[in-house]
Formats: sequence, C-alpha cells, structure tokens
Amino acid sequence: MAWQLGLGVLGLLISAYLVATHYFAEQVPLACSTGGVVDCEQVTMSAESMVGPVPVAVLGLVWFGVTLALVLGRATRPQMVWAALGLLAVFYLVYAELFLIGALCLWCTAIHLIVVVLFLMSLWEATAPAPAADYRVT
Amino acid sequence: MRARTPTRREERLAQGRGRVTRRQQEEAAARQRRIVLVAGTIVVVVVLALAVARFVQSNAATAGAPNSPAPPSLVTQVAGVDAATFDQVGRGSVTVLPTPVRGEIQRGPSGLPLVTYVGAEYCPFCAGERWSLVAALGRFGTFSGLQLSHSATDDVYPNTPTFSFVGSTYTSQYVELSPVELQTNVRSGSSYSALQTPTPAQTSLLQTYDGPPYVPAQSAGSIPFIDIGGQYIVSGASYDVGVLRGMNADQIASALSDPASAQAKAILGGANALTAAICTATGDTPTDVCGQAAVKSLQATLAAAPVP
Repeated sequence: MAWQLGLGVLGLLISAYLVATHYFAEQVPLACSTGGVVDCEQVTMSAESMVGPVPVAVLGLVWFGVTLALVLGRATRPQMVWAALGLLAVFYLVYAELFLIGALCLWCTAIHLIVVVLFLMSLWEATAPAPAADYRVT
Repeated sequence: MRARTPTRREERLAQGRGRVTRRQQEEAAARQRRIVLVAGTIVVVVVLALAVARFVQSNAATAGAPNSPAPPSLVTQVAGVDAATFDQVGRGSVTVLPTPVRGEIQRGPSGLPLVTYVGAEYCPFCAGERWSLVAALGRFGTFSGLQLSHSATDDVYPNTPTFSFVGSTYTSQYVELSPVELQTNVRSGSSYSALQTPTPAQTSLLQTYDGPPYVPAQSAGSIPFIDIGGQYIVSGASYDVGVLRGMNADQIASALSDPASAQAKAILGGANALTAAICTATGDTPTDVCGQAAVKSLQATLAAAPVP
C-alpha cells in the first residue's frame, strides 16, 4: 500500500504541474525540450491534450485523486477497475503521441508509467489468495 | 471439559484438510502471479506494437509522395475564396497575429511592396502557413506553377498536405512575392536535403527580424518566416496546424468554402491577418479587398499593436 500511495502522490504532483503549466503558462513554464521528437509543449498544446473544454492534465489529476482515495479505503476491486480505465486512457494517449501528434512528452510518459505500475499493483492486490485456514481439533 | 485426544483417523483427516487448504493457497498464489505477468506482458506488447508500427510507418514513408503540380481547380478553391466567406470568418481561430516592425518599406524588382517568405518543405508549420499565404495573396494576384507537397513524415503533424513555392510564379499589380524553400521533405542524415539558397536580401530580413526583440530568443530563426513589405513579420504558424490532420489537399481546399469549418477558421483567419498586413504595405489597394470588414478590423488591431 505504501508504494501505491507513493506512486499515486507522485502522479498527482506531476498532473498538478501540468495543469499549472496549462493555466499559468507564463508563470509556470514547461520544463522540457522542444522542437524535436521529444516536444512536451507540442503534446500539451495539441488538440489531443483536451477532452472538450477540459485539459487531459485535469482528468489525470482527478484520476490520481480517486486512486489515492481507493487505495486509502482499501477498495481493492474498484481500484482495479479504476486503474484499468486509466490504462485504457494511457493506450490512447500513447497512440495519439505517436500517430496523431508525432511528438512525445516526457512528463506525460512518466505519468503513463505510473498508471501502468499502479494498474499492475492493483491487479496483484485484487487477485491475492486468501490466507490458509488453520485446522483446530476440538 | 478436557479435549480428548483425536483418533488416528481424525488426525489423517485433519492433515488432509490442511494440505488441501495450503495447496489451494499455493495454486491461488501461482494464478495471481500468472494473471499479473500476463497483464504486464499485454501492456508491454501493446506499447511495443504501437512503437514498432510508428517506426515502420515512418521508415516506409520516409520519402513520401513526391511533389506534383497543384491542379488549377484546387488552387482556385484556395486562392479564389469569395469575400463573403472571408468576412464571415474574420480573425477565425488565428492565435498569432503578424508582429509590427514598421521598418523600411521592402520593395521588389518592380517597385511594388515585397512579401518575403522563408520556409522549408519538411516544416509542418510552414505547411499550415502556406495555405493562408496562398489564400491571402490570391486576393492580390494569381499563382502559376504551384506544387502540391507535404511536410515531413517523421516530424510533428506528419505528412501535412500543403503547397510548395518551388518553381512557382506569382503575378500581381499590387504586391510581389519572394519565396524560398530552404529544404525538401526528404531525410538526409539528421536533417533534410537542401533545396533552395536564400538571397542576400532574404537572409538579411531573416537575421534582422526573426529574432529579438520581434521574436522571442528561444524561437529566433524559426520558420515559416514572412516579411510583409518591411511593415509586419510572421514567425511560425498563425494557427494550430493540427486542424489539418488526417485531411488531404482536396479536403482542405473544399473545407474553405464553409466558414464554420475548423479549417476555414484557421486558414482564412490567417489569410485575413496577412491580408490586413499586406494592405498596410500597399496603401490599402486594391480597395475591394482592403475595404472588406474583416480586413479593416484586423488592420485596426495590427495598427494598435506596438513595435516590440
């Protein structure tokens, strides 16, 4: 659980940073290279970085917030389902980076990796075997 | 009551139940490991498959389709957009307006105000901006010999359809065009193969205006670079080139007839901004173009902007 909390907090912080760079671009510059294949600005300002009027970074922030709540609440199965949804989103975002935008964002990649690891950890928790029953003679 | 000693049969039964329980636990643990291993493998395979597919696509299309003559009908769709459509679009979705420099009037060999364009065929932002430039200049004159091209297949906004000014001619009573495409869209080592060499005048404008204080230092030297009669400059794309993604040249040209389309708002909005700047250089001629509402409105906006 400690690892899940740690990764969740890390993901939350990175998402918060990306949200800040979106809404306060002048005050909070995006620390990343530009102009090549790794171009965070290109990715975070692309059409694919928005879901309607909502930046994907905000959705990520919400996702990590819910994840932390589920971890703290030890809601194992809901956490696994929630993580699976996050994983599907990661697959789409990676596809968008590679095929639609043609650039990669290191911060986004870090979040993607965290989501994948959290998914696998939640799957591990959800499939954990019950402890062996003790036999007592009475 | 004192617990009695279990019989041998009861002991064997007890041991049997314990072994089944532990075996079930071991089987469950093994299943847990298998499930997570399979899931992890699936994740890795999916991501690797995406990466490999992207790599194969990039390599297979490294040369991309060669340039071809732009059909006259397509050029007409872009360079002959009607005034009403331009006015309905207005500024459209343009995010960056031309920057005032208000320097010495740049004139071409015929003495007319000179529009200088510096770009490259690989450049996706140049690919987007050329649509606006062709639409804008189409209001002042006519193009011949335009080529259909596309941006690099392995850069951002890959394979964006566009024109190329290489080998083209522009004729107008009001303005002259001096274009240069520095590189092709074909990979050569870590860059793209050289195409045209800028003239000393083009290089001078690039060095003078494509940097501080007119362009932020981190973007100095960016292309596309457009100088409009020495009065305004454009560095980079005026709009989000992503609106052209997934479309071919015919689709983009057709979309310009609908002022509500994302492509029209971007391209014609950019064209209106360029037109406003060109009108300033030409002394508001021709009047039927420079007198249009959208152009006048943008001219006022541009005139109010201070020189950096």
